[in-house]
Amino acid sequence: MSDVILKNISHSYGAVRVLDQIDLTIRGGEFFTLLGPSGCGKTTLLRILAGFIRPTEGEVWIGDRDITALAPEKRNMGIVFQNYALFPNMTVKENISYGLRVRKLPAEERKRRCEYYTELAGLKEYEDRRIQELSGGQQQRVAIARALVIEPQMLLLDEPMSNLDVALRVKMREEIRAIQRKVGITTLFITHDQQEALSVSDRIAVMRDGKVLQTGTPGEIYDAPNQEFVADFVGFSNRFGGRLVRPEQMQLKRDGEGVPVEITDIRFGGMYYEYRVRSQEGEYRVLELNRGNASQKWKRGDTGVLTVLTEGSGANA
Amino acid sequence: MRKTDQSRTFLPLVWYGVMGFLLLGYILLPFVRTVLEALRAGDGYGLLNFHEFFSNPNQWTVAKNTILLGVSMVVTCGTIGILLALYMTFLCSRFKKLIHILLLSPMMVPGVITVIAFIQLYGESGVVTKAIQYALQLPSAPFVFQGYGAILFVITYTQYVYFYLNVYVALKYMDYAAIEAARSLGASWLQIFRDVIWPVIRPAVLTSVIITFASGVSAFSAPNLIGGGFKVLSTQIVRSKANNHMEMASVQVVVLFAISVTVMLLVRFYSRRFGSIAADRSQPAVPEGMRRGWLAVVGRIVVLIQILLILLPIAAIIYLSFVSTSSIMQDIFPRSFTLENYLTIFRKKRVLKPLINSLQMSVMAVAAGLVLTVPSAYLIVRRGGRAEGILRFALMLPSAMPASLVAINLINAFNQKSLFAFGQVLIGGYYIIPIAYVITALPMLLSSNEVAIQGLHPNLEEASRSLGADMGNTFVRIILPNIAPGIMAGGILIFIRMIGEYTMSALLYGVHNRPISISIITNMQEYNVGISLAYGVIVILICYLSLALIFRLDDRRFL
Ligand SMILES: Nc1ncnc2c1ncn2[C@@H]1O[C@H](COP(=O)(O)OP(=O)(O)O)[C@@H](O)[C@H]1O
Ligand SMILES: [Mg+2]
Repeated sequence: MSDVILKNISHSYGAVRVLDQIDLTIRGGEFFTLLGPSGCGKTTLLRILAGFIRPTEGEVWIGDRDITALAPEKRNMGIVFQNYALFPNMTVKENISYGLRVRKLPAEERKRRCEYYTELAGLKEYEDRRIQELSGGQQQRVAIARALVIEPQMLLLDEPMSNLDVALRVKMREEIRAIQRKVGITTLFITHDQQEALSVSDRIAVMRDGKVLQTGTPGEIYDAPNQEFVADFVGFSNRFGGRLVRPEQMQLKRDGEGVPVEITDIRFGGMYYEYRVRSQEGEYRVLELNRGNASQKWKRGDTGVLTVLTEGSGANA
Repeated sequence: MRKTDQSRTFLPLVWYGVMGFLLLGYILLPFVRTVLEALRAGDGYGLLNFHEFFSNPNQWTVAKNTILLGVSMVVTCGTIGILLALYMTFLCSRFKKLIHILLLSPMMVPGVITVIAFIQLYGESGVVTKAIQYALQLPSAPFVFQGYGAILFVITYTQYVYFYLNVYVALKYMDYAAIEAARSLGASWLQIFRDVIWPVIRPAVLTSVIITFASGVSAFSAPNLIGGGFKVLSTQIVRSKANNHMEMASVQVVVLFAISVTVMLLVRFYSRRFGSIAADRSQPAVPEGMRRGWLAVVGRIVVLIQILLILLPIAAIIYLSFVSTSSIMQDIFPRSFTLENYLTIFRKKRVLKPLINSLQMSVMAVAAGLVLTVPSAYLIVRRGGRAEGILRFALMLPSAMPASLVAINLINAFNQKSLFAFGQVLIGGYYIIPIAYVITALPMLLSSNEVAIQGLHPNLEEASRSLGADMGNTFVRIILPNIAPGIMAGGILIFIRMIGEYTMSALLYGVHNRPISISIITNMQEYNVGISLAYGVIVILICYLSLALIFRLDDRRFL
């Protein structure tokens, strides 16, 4: 499967520049995530990839082919829209087979592929339903099957979870990831939810104000953010001794080496305890796994010392 | 590689060319022709005709009558329409949908037929008139159903619907919690209306004022048939045209246009001072307790009277259409039923022809109107640039033109060979009426198409493209099927309005295209009342069936 390469892409709507010199390579077969706050230009980038807008500057390549000016219908990209964009005048089956019908594939082949992807998306029993009769999760499966059935070069997903409730989000993202692994398709996933991004991606690009700030594996992004914004966006971090340190990378001890602190608040999170502590320099958060009674010993007002547990390669704050 | 980008702009360009040609040739230039005709003075141009118009006291009276009718209609329709909308929103609980549809139904009956029906009820030999005369043993009819009062009565009965529907829809966005709050603070109903309800419905009321005034000053059926000595511009325009005074007809129609546009601009100017208020509805249900009390009782009585007024003429016209003409004329309560009227229509080709004509011409107008407005609406909604703005403005222009202006424009432009008709003389021919229908239908069709297209998320088109369908395929498989119900519903509404159209028909019909509205009147005048009424019933039937179709296609329209 070919790499998808964005070369120096910039885009302006009128006078407003929303993408600024984006360079990205999405490797063949990988699950690549664009993570960034709302309005940072994620959708615009996806629409450029899909061919709905021509970038003001820059090129889009697939392998060794420049597709910058190629019409969307010739790009062979499967898209799952935020609102799914299912055709309301068609049944589930008709939605899924649409891409094959407009391609005028032989009926035999159409049937085979439709059945395969309907099964894959777990929609067998809903085939003849109307779109209006489906739940949010089911609609999303239809959207995914419809996009995959054309066996596209690439799958583009624009915040597909934003219309689902929290419990379903976790379930669906696992499912999407499983399907992607099975099909082995190059995937661009867009989200503003760091948890989602960290848990499903092979690699992540963190975006802000039309720029890519950092690209890397979830581990790299989390453990070694290259700047404060990235660090904050993928989770809380303490500014400690001139560095960014994650709460779970810190340890509270009764005494010994470390910065003297006082405990100002304790929150129980089930799996962990979260301590709010204060030193002369500032306030920090410390996470400690709940290992039975270990935490009993700390109370509000206690004093202790704070140390960094693992020497992460965190960026300077 | 650039090819796709070029075709994206090329097709719209062709479309703008075609639309430019048609709009210029059939709307703009004909209007200029009318203005020039009005300014014609001997061999040159001047204000001579206008001078003649304004120095003639009779013409002054006609102009004043026209304005009087427009203003009084706004008052009567506004009062009844707003009261009904308030009642239906806050007080009505049982049979709400049915009553709502009944209240809307006068819109579905062509004006000519309504007037005929009213004449059968309240005219000199009308059922109600005769009943009262008989009951009170009066030597002559107790009232004369003619003149200003009669016209106002008839028109109010049909035209309150604009106010009613617009205000009813606006009230859907009313925040009931605000009313509750005002009540808990001790406000009276009057204060609540003034401070809470009025700001919400004001935009709808102002829009309705414009529409109602415009339809009042250009009303033709009622003034023509029961006007008596009360003359208005629209009737005088037809008379001037019949007497071949095209210059005077043009002056009169320009004056009519000026009156209607002035009021429109005044109201627009006034309404711009207020932003629109769209409150979110926080409470879905009307608070209990509101439905009791004397207000509800009064409201119920008003609605009952209104429904009676709506149903009585239709009942009368259906009833009388099954009675022979001689019995209608002689008996107080005709009881000799016959199918003769209907049989005559369907047996005699000559008698059936007007019905066929009207059906054909309305269907043609709707089809042509849709062909012109669907792609235009699509471009306007999806592209929304300057060219689209101009296109939209041009297509909406006829909404500011009274029907008689459209007809007079066409006469002035096409009573000779014209480049825009490819060298033909259209006046006297068959197609001039459907053309006039199309022109008046453009604004409404455009608006309803725009609504339908706005309801279609652009993502659907993009999804289709990404799945491999080109623009043409996407249009046929995705766009069209999804906007069809809304578009068809709009088209049918136009069909209903056109099938009984009278004003333009009266100015433009010839031997080949005599429409049903004209035949209804001539049969009536030639004492074939039975035929006239049977025609009316057939048209009403067609209209109601069409209405039922609209509800099937687009069940949220009007509700
Ligand atoms: N069609 C458009 N015209 C003008 N501005 C737009 C358009 N689409 C998006 N924008 C603006 O571009 C910026 C990026 O938008 P978008 O790509 O949708 O961001 P995201 O998907 O990350 O939320 C936003 O500020 C948005 O308001
Ligand atoms: Mg977005």
